[in-house]
Amino acid sequence: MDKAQEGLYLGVDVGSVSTNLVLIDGEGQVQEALYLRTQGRPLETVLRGLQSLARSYSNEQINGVGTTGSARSLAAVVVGADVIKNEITAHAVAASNLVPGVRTILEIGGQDSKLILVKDGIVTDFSMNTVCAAGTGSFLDQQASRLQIPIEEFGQLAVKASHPVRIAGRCSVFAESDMIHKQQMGHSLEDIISGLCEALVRNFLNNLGKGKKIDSPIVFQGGVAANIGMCQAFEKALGHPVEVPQHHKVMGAVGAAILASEAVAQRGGVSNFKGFTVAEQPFGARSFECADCPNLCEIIELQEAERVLSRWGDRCGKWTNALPSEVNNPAITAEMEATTP
Amino acid sequence: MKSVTDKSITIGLPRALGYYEYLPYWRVFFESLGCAVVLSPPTNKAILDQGVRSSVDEVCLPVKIYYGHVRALAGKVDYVFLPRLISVEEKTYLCPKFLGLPDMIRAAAIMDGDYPELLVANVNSRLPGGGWEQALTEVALAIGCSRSRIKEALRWGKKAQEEFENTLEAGEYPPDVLARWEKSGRLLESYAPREFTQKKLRAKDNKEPVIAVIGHPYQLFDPFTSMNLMGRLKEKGIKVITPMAVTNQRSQEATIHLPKRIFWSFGQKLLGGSLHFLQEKIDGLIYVAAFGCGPDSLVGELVERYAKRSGQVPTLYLTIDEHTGEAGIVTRIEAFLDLIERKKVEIETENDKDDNTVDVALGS
Repeated sequence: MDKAQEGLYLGVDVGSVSTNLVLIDGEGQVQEALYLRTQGRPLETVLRGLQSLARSYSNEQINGVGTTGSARSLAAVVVGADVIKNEITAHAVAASNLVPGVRTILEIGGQDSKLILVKDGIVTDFSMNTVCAAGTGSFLDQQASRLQIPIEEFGQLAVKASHPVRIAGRCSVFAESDMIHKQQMGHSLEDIISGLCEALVRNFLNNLGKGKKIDSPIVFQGGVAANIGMCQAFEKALGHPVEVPQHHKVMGAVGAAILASEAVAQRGGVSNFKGFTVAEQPFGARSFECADCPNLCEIIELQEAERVLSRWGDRCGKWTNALPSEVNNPAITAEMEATTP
Repeated sequence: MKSVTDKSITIGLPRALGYYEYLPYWRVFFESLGCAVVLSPPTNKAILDQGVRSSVDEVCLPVKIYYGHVRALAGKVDYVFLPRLISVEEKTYLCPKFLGLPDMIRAAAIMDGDYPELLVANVNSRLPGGGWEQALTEVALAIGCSRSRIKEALRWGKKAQEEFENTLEAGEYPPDVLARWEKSGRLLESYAPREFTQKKLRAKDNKEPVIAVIGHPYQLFDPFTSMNLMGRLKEKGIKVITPMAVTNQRSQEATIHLPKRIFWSFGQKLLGGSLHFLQEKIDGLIYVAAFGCGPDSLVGELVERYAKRSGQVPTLYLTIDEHTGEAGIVTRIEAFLDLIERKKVEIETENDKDDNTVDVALGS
């Protein structure tokens, strides 16, 4: 416990590819940021993150917790969240706080991409990729490993290109076969990678930016913003400078933490945070199919040391409501109901 | 063929497509003839799976679900009433999938077997005397009803439908109204139309945000297909309004300036409803499109563009098909509500500063 600062807020963003935990102070400044790979184990990864934070921080320093990301409900049960927010709002809040006056947010994560338009700190319009994940981080990841290049160097290579090749980026399956084809034609790796970045940007703008007015200042965040090749491709396509904030990888978590500070202030300083010790608890999740009606809902049950913490996934609410009421944290119950069909 | 003289006939009504707009008419008509009416169960996963399995690939999700509902009535009814909706209003058409519905179902019945017997009749208002009355008379004659009895049943049916439409146009929440008609014993009650007080819709006076949800009734009011969109909005304290509450006259007035008449009746209802709401004070507009719906792909685009041009009403366009992930829809709805909530707070703070700046604040 060497870092003695008081009044911190924890933000947890559990996404498909990465799980991020940040601590911000009362001014919204990032004090600590953890970027962990989810590796298909959201629950374990959150616990791992909490353990590593527990080494330097104590429970008393944490004033509130917020969760976001596709596994926000799961994370909320584990940590005892004060606020559970969707990724779009969380990203917009973070960008508006760290980059005052921002008008356009480009966000590309593991399997989501988002375009958020902001005016005076308020979201005016947004769009998010639908079923297709072409152009998101996991596709770049996959291509990097196919070409046996560490993903961190991917962007550097793209910048070195002299003549970017045109790659069909509409679909990631076709993009891959097109890349293979271009390699077989003899194009340099740099040109292909740069062409890929341009194709992904084209795809992003066609899918999400259709009919939307993109104003400057533009902020690019999410894991893919680390890729300098993608930044350059965006700048080229938009004709405006694109700013990548220092904590671009963990902006969702920053937003969740900021929202937690607002929520706790509204409630008079009381937080639901369960403390870092939850990381020591044996958590377990299981799922089963309820066969009581033709809907065959998949029920997910989260247990902490044999005790059922939470359930969700049922359309009728039978399993959710069967829990003793003191188990349910009101913020989480509301969110569960919202995410349950 | 079984007829009314053989004691009671059971008529099945699939809980899909036209059901959401004509339930009172159909139900009261058949019950007045002395038939028992059975509704298929609310859409569930088994019905969806059945529908997706038996239907042709190109149709939209609501049509696929219709197959499942018809099949669910097999063995429970003597006939399923399956009108071929060609045109329900003058100078309009329904989409080709409604026109071909009986044929598609018949084809599926041949392939799969185990389908109930169908009572099919054409509803075509473009022909003289070819509307609902003609179609219902045709099916009633087929099951052996007398002309005088049919005439009486039509009178009751039309009265019920009128009351239903009046209630909706008065702004009552459509699922609540439908729920009343789903309960049996309706015929025993009197049909005196109630007095309705037209409440002018004005979001800025209301505390809760008002969102216009635009979409086909058979998609919006089926909680399974719409992923309970309406329920989710209501839970969050949103006041939901739908094109069902817009009279034909208002809808026509709202589209009068368009360069071309919309010849799909659903399209007219959705676009006219949207443009009408855009003139009123609403906080947001959600367009729910059925994936694979031809008219939606055009009408939805028009709605989105007009909403953008008005520059004041945030819009959200949701496309739903049988593969649509729940999580993505929930995230979008939540973010959209956050957007509306924050905008509303901002406008209210502006209003507090100066009461006369409403329009300025909205336009900013």
